[in-house]
Amino acid sequence: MNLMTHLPVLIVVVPLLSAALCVLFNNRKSAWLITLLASFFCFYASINLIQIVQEVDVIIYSVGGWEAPLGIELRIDALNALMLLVLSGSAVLVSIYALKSVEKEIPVQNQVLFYTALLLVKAGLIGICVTGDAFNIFVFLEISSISTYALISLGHDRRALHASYQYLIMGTIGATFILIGIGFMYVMTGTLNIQDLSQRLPVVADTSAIRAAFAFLTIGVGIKAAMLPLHQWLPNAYAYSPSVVSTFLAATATKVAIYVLIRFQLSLFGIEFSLLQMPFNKILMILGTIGILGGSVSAIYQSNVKRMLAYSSVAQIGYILLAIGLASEPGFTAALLHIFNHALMKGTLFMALGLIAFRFASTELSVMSGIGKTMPLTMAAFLIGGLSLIGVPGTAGFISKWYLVTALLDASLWPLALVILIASVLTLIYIGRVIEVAYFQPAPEGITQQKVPKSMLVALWIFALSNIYFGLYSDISLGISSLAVNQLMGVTP
Amino acid sequence: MIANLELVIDICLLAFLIMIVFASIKITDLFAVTMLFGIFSFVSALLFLDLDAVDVAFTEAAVGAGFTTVLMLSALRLTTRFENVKHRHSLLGLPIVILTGAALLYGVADFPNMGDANAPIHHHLAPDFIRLTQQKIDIPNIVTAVLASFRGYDTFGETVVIFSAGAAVLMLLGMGHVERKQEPEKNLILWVVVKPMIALILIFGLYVQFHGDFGAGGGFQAGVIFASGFILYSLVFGETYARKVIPATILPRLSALGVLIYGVTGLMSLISNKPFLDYNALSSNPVGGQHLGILLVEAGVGLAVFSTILLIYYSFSGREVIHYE
Amino acid sequence: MIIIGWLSDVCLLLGGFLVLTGAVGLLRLPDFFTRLHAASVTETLGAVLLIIGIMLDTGLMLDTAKLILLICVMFIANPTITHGLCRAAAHGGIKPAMETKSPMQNSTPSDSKNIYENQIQTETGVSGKAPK
Repeated sequence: MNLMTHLPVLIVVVPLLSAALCVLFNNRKSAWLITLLASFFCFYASINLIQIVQEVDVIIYSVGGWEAPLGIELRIDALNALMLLVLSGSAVLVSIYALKSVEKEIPVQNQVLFYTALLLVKAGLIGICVTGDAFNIFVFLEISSISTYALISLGHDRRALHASYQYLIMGTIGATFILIGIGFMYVMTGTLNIQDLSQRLPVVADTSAIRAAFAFLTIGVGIKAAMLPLHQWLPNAYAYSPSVVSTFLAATATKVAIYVLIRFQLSLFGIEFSLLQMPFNKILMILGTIGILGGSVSAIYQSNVKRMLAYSSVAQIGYILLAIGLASEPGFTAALLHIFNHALMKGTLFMALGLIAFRFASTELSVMSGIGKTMPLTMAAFLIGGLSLIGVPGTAGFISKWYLVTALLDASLWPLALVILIASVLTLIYIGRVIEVAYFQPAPEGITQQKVPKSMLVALWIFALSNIYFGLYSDISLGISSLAVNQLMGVTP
Repeated sequence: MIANLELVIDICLLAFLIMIVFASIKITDLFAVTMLFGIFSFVSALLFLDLDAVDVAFTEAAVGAGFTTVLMLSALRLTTRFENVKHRHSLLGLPIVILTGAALLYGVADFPNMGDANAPIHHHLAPDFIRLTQQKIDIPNIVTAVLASFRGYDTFGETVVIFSAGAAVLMLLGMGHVERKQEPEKNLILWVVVKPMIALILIFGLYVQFHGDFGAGGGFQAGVIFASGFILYSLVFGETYARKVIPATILPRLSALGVLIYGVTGLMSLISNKPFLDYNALSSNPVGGQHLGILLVEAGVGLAVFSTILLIYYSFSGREVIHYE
Repeated sequence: MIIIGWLSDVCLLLGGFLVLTGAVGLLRLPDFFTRLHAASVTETLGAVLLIIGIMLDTGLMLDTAKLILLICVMFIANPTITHGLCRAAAHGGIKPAMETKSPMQNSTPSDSKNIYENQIQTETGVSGKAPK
């Protein structure tokens, strides 16, 4: 048996079966170990897949030995590979980080199930990113969603239950809309395979069924991606969920939804239909712009730092949507780069907050006074993440913002470029508030140097340093992004 | 004549469904609404049956009309019986619902007619499914062939969905404890009748499990039917005894085992360097391999569904009732 | 053969008639117990006659055995269910309507509400009032 040829399916099946093994062993320590090993395997697989993709362009794997339109095919091109890297990379760091954080935050009887659900979320998201079948996307979306709802509800705060319920309702509506969209397309074409659909759709593109399918798919995915008017579930879900969960979700969940959006818009409907024939690019740009400004302004008014970062996520999603809305090559490159870089910065920031919650059991701004002296390493990492979020040169955030502004100027949309700059100032304000409290206010009496577990610090710093690394050496992320864009736009044969 | 009759039945059933929906919006007694939901599922099962989707109808009847009703009654026990009527409804909901409905109607307008022989779904893949099922899998029920072999990866995903639902419920509610609960009263007639009935139900469950290749049925339906036998036992003889027959702690493991059976069956083919879930690799004879693979996979599904459903039932019924003043 | 066809038709018609009677009874009879009685006519004799009619119509095959099994199950299960329902109703404090009232009076909404309230009292043992 040749392991390499089976990597596309193993990267999904290994974490899924590991989740089952966790329950079977029913032991906290071994559950963590299984999670860690599965994450490392996925990371190893994704690195290998990226290398293979750069050589052969597209990896196709027919599950069950049935050829594509009949069976389900897994299809990995550069875009999928990029998503896999983001997912499995953050999964590894989160797994290292989880050991101590889960011990502290999750009730003992739920810890095994926590790891199980974490693995299921990861496997579900990875499953969405490797498949080439529209209905299969829905199946794995369900796996990840159900586990996500449960994970959010485990938050320390009682409001976590309400947040989870809110997300459950919104998420279920979103999933149903996606299913309706897929069903409509199936009725009109008789196939579920994305590649096959993209060939058969143009014939029936000018029917009300396909237009309705397009609308349902977009709104369904929009809910999952927290596109602006559909974002209400996100701030609460991120703010009240356990630290491990908010870190992983912030780094990955909405990105995967945006991946699905890109996949449907570009690979399935085709750029002509979705972005130009439908006035969808304009809608995306307007929603994106409102999202950037609205999210940033709301973030300024939050007293809970976790909630603040959640609103900031809404704004960052706005950047990505705006970039997609440009419907141009530099626009897509900027969007993909920002997906990658945003995972890095939000991972860093939420992880740092997790460490603060580990010590103070709260992420209110008020507990953070003087924290720069009592938890210097944690706050330094937070600072790096914050600078990256603002877009200071030398950090990952700068690269994606630079590409976005360039893309906007290319399309001679300089007012929107101005919006980006204003949003950067707004980001500076809300990150600055935290920095001010942490470094320039005295620590309360009696609070001295705080000890935090080394494993958590290591994970946090790997995240933080990767912000700087990918800010200085953007070849890797940029290379894969532009390859992905070329494949999406059909430039390379 | 016959075709017209089917259409009339379809329209009647659809009209029923609409009436049930309006009734359940209007009624504030949640017990009655639960019953209406059960009826809704049953009527939609009839509709599926009339549309010749027997497997779907079977599942809907078992899960929707059977298990879900029990579950909702268990949940109802934990809360109040009447809806809080004073709760204000958001006005935003109405335009959204109307818009969604309008979009659905708009989309349906260009659909091919029902039963149209020229519709794309009958021409593109369906003929291949029919041909290849006869050639390469050789079982009469094409639905099972598509479900377990052609799209076995989806079904694997669905099994994991069920497993994760069980894990989620367990995380939220826990296993519950049964000591402080009221046991059902002794009722000789029920005891006498239910005992042989349970045996019949379990046998029927096994029949559905292993007969799925030939007729309607398969792991999903069998798991629900098998679990309903145990739920019946628990309802009539008391949960204390039921938990002695199948301890609650073993159920999550059984569910995980079901997923593992499915997954490992898929991984077996990797040894001979065939793709995941390629059952041809399981035996020297490809058709035999397909049969074996489908059997194993359905067993995994059945086990996972059975244990998850019983687990969810235990979690709900094991909760203590808290009375809010 | 013709006789069997006739028999089948008679069974089907009679079964259909009984089901219809059950439905009318369910609507018109005065209280819970009598209504249940009407409903059980549908379940037992009505359904069984329909099944026999179908059996005669299709002729002897494997499905006939399944249908016979189905009749057996129905004969055991349905009376038990009716019994269980009756017991639950009696347990819940529903009294049979003894006096001769017009059926309309007995099925007013306020009356059915009383039934619910009684049931709540015994089920939860706390309060007989519906929550506000």
